[in-house]
Amino acid sequence: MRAIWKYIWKRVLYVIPTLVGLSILIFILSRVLPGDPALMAAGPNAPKWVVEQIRHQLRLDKPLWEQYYYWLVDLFHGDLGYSTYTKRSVTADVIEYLPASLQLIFMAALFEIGGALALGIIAGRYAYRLPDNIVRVIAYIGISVPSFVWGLLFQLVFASLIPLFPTHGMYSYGTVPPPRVTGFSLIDALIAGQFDTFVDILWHMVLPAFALSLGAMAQDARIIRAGMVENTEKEHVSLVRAYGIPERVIFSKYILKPSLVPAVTVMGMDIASLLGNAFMVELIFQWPGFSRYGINVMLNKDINGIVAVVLVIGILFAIANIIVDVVVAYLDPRIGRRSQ
Amino acid sequence: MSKEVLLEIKNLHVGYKTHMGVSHVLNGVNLTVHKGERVGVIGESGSGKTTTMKSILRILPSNAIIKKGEIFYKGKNVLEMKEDELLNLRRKKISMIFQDPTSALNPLFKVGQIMLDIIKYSYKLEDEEAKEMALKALKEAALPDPERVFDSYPFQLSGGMRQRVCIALALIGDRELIIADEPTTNLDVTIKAQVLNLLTSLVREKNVGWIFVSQALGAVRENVDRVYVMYAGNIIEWGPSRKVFSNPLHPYTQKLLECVPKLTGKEFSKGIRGRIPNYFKPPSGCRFHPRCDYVLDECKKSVPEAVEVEHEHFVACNLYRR
Repeated sequence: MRAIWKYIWKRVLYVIPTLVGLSILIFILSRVLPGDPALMAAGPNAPKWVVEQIRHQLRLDKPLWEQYYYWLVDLFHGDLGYSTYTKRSVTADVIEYLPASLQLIFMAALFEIGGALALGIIAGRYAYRLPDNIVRVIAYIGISVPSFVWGLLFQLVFASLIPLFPTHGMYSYGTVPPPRVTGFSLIDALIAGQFDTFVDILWHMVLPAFALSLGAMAQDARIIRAGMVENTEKEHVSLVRAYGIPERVIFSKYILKPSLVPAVTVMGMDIASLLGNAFMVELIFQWPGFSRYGINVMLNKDINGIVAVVLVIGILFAIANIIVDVVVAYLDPRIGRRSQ
Repeated sequence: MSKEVLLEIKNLHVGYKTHMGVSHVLNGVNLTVHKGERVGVIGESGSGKTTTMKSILRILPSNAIIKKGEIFYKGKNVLEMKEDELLNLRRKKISMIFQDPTSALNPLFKVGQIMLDIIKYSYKLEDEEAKEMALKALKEAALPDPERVFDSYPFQLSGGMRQRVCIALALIGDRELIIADEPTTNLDVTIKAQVLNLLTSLVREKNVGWIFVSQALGAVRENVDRVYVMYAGNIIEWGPSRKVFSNPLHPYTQKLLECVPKLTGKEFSKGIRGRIPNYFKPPSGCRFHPRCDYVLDECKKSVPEAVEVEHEHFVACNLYRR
């Protein structure tokens, strides 16, 4: 057990230089790309002195290294800078919008993992037979159709034609949002003891989360299937079969476990990239989330917002990476031990 | 040696379905093992030795097709056995040692986990008894510190130790037949001798039926009662090991034995010209005829019948007809 903590700690240490590098890169990029952020923020008809004032406020009149230095100092005080788009602190924006997105992504991740396992295992178990062919068609469609098309389709079918789910938003009309404690509306609803609200939010999340999860689900199902087909022909499977271990055990133990290792790696990355993919889905379902915020700051060249959004996505990837590393090390003992 | 027949393979034809068509590998293999007998199978790589061995336990790859033939184990056809009979055969009667211990042990499970599973399904024992049985087998396979090996992943063991683990698996329970499919081919030279000595002494000691598939002709010669020579999916010569090695009849066997490098020899053998045939379009008649120096017209037409040239020494070659 101590070994695993050491392993996690090491992974965390590796992540720090990556994030510093990412912050420098995006910081410089956001400032050297064409388009004057101060001008964009002030608007086309603003007088020159207003533009200059904004430029000064954003520290754009200082050299690049100095800007980064102050940004870093502010970061350690929990301040991500001023957003020219929302006209307030970026930190406040992140706190407001990120939990809603994380909540959606978490549900999508559950769908993704569950669906990928189910589809992949069925396809692997009945490789080259009817269930496999059905899964292959599903996976093919799942990968090739973008998530926003799924979103629109689900809205049409499951919200409009068959009104099982709400079409958009986080709450039904008349539902009072729970008092904000963590920012995660689901958790806040539970804290406030509003169980009806909790269910209501979940209900609103099903369609967007499912639409969001399909692409990754299909891809991972295919990876699991491929792994199972490959491992079925391995010599170590012949060995356990030769010694009379029942097929059911061979499949669920000696074939499944090695097939999951590559899938877990891809799953982690897929889940992390959901935040980036969530934009269209959040837009269609009018989900008050971070991806929508991200697109808006980019369109408005809100430099502090852009840096914050990219960093948050980077941190999410880093966390996913660490989780993946730990799970893979748990599944495959060769990996964890070798790096110690 | 009693003459009770333990295993009898009759006219076995096995092919593999691939995207290039069907390869016709085994072309009528006949092989007999008596109770407590040690039988060698030799022949170059790709001659179908492993396919034959895997057919016995029905653990062929999923694209294999058994086209014809029978495999009798104590009079029962293995190929027609029901699930429970087959499991019983695999659990109690026949065990197999694989060619490459590294790929034969699942890398994600500890040696102990694999052994416990095997023992539990074979003997319905509790964990503790099963573990005792596993440790006993590991000790028999001359593994130092069986407890540690039991608790190790395969990657934490050396190649020689891994093969000893596989030997230990084959020793669990009282088997009637142990199939060793090139058990030393993938080991270091220094380890080869150790593992081979261990295996041969265990087989002798337990008086168990043994099929020893190997390219190490010297080891086969010293350690088996009878030997089968395989070429391109056919058994082309068989008989008491002493006779086959001292008086090889088939042109292929003669060439094969010539290929063994001798420490006293001045030059290397020239090898056998040509190569193992393409199984998608195997040669007609005797499959060795394109490489044979004494080829006759009839060799190209039909597969030669086996002839008993001297007592119990058979050869399937037209040179010995009449």
